Amino acid sequence: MGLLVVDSVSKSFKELEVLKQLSFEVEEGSVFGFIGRNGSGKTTTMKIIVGLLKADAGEVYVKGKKVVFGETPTNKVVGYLPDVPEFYGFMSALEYLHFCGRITGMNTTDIERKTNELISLVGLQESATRRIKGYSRGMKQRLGIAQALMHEPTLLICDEPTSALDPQGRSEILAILDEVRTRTTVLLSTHILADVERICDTVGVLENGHLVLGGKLEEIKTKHRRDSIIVSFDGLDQAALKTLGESLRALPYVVQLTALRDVLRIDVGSVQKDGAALFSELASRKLTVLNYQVLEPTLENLYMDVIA
Amino acid sequence: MNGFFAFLSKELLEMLRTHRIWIVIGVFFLLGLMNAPLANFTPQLLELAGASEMMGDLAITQPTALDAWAQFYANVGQMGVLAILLICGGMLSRERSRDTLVLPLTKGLGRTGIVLVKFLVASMLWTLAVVVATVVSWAYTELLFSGETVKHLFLSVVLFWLFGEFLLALIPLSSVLFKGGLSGLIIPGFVLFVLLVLTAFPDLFFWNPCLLIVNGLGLMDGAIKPSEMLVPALVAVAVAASALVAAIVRFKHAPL
Ligand SMILES: Nc1ncnc2c1ncn2[C@@H]1O[C@H](COP(=O)(O)OP(=O)(O)O)[C@@H](O)[C@H]1O
Ligand SMILES: [Mg+2]
Repeated sequence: MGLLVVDSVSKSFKELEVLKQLSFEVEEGSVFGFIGRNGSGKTTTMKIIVGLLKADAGEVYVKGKKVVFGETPTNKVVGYLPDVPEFYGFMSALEYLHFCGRITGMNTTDIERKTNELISLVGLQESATRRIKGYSRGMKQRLGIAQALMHEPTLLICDEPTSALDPQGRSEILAILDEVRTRTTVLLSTHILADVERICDTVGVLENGHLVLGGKLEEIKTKHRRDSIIVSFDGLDQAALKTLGESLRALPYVVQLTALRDVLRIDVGSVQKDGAALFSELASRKLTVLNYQVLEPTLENLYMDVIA
Repeated sequence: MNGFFAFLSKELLEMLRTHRIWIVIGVFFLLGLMNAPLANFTPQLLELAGASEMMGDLAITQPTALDAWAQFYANVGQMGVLAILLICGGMLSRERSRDTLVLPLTKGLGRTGIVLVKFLVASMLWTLAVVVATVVSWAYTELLFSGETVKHLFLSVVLFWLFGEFLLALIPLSSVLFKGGLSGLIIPGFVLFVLLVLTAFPDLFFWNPCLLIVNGLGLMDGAIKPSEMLVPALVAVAVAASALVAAIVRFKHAPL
């Protein structure tokens, strides 16, 4: 059983059915990228997981314990960073972390130790004693991660931690999460696929209220490999490339062939089986191959395929 | 319990940093300060305005300490009650509409604790307010009308305080039933208005908590017996306690 189990969860707001029997699991030790368009229900799902919203049907388990709405004991092992974390502006970051530590019942020594550790982890040393009122979005997001980690949770849930930030801020947050992954399982929602590729090892794509794609990122990529090869040549003009394309198309293992400006995209039955044959075919024609590349499926392509 | 005290210290820090405590002390100091002089100079003011001729034989009487306490009920009783409602009305609704409770709640802060702390802090402010206004008012009255006493001064002020507590206890319920930054004022405002209207019929609505404040002066001059205040006081306590319980129950089942 996974660290987090979402089991057939449904949720509607009035007529709007946001989640329809959504199920997925997050394994201990993984970094799970929860992908979906704006309005697909990512925030709703996360709020249900931390007991801020009540599901209409279905159950959520954290470490095997059922999540209850309202006062939620499972939150003892969960750290939560909402999409727009709101702090008390009259407190400093240090004071806020102390406040969080006291709520979770930590003793003063642990609070001191953890606060110092987290302030430097998220790089807020310089502003730790300044009032949060004057913080930028990026600083608040970093403080948000720090507060979520205060009680050393087993599961860290971050709701679009990078969406509202500039590239530098995004990069900083991703670096922090990358560091954190060694000590806690991470569930992060996003609509930025590049972020997922950078730090997630597992993904789930939410669309129409349920998961349309899910699993280990590498496995998904392998499974959806398209077996396409991109080749470009030296000294061939467009017309010559076209002629070459026509003759290659006749080869038995070529499924499809497309001429794209100065490259050929050749879809074969299987790269493993037919790649070598194609390569020697090209060599036998005395062509100078500039570039021969097996097309890696990107998450972007996969995503477009599954939601199409 | 951890959460309760952590949240309480957060509230106290907020009270200091946002200067709310100084605003309360300042406002109620002034409201307490104005009563005795207003009572003292009202006859002169009326004379200046030529009121004595209009009133004919009815000579304007010498002001007394009781007049100063009449001013207390007029000023602290009206402006003061409105001021404390405005100062404390947003205490829970503002946090709900700004989502500042999301993080503490997911950290395990109990919702019962939140409601109780909010009421406790409002109570502390109101107690401070009543003490400041009363002490200042009493001292200045002693100065201007030395030697004069009024009946049941302490009891009257306690009942006056109780009425304020009664209104403050309605704020959490109002804040969880309605949405928006000032939703905390809806129920206390409505209840205050209705009860004020009902004070026109003190015999019919003898239980009306508003009588705690309206009859305060009667208590001081002996026209009203302390025993008559018992039922309004009990009603105030009972309603306040029920409103707090209802707020807690409702808050536990409300999405943020
Ligand atoms: N409290 C609410 N009341 C009504 N509709 C809501 C509420 N919260 C979210 N929604 C709707 O539910 C859908 C999913 O929202 P959300 O979970 O925030 O999506 P995401 O986080 O993936 O962008 C949206 O269409 C949103 O408008
Ligand atoms: Mg969202």
